[in-house]
Amino acid sequence: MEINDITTLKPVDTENNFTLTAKIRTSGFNSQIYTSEMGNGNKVHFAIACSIGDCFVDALSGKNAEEALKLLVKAVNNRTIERDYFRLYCDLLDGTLSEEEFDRTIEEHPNDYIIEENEEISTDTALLALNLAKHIKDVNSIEDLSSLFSFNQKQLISYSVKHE
Amino acid sequence: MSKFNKEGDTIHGEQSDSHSRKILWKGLKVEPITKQKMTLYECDRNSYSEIIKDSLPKDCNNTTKEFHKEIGDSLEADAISIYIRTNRKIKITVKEGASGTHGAQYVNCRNYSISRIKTSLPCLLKSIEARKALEDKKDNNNKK
Repeated sequence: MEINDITTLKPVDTENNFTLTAKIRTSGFNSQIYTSEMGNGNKVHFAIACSIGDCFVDALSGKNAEEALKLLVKAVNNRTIERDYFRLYCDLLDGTLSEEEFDRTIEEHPNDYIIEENEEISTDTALLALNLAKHIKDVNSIEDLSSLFSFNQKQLISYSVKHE
Repeated sequence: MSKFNKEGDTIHGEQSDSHSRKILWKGLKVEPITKQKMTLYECDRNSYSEIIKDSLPKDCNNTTKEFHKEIGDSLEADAISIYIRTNRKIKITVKEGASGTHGAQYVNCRNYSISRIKTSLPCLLKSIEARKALEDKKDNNNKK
């Protein structure tokens, strides 16, 4: 079945009056939602969808949204770590910190100033991150992507090796 | 003494000279292969990096065995990332009209450094999509 073919499908329930209430199309699925009023404010929804893999079910269950939220929180925290390093560097430049204090601070609190890039990820998470990255400023390379989301860069590099 | 220009090609040396149209200081990072704290610079457009002094024996180990390390080995690519073993920013020299029309920025690095040809995000996206399609195909075959 092609992704456009679902327009030919309709709910088969003849007792309830289903009407088309929404059409949702993303890069992963094409769907139509039919709704019937059951009284007392209750509604029955009937969904017809053609999906690449589990895209539709994942969207419906909120799995992608939860994953995206986790990645975005990580990105904000990592940008804060970067800011703190540059702030510390400014302290060194204006003389608030000595060279020794600067080195010692980084040595003693590496997690506050250096982003850990050690998370192993699935291809699904990598694709989701790449889609999110399109909307985030200054993410142009594998280095930017891995430091934004703490991904293991070695793994990303291995993904980029061409598969025959 | 060779020139490398494929994505992911890496050179390392005790001293290196690099230049590019634009060089950006990206702060202190962990180099992904050696796991050392190093300062990252990103070179964008017409980038070049060359080893001028080879690595010390302590830096030539199992983790770096895939890296090129001869004096004169160089990378030539659109975009290169350079990891330099220092906590501080090093000086970038700007030379106007270096290529006749465009200026260039130079980093003459006298600390141990690792330079690698970068992979762009569109290329990474294509590779991951291809990999995902391959995984899905395998899954479907296993289900059958």
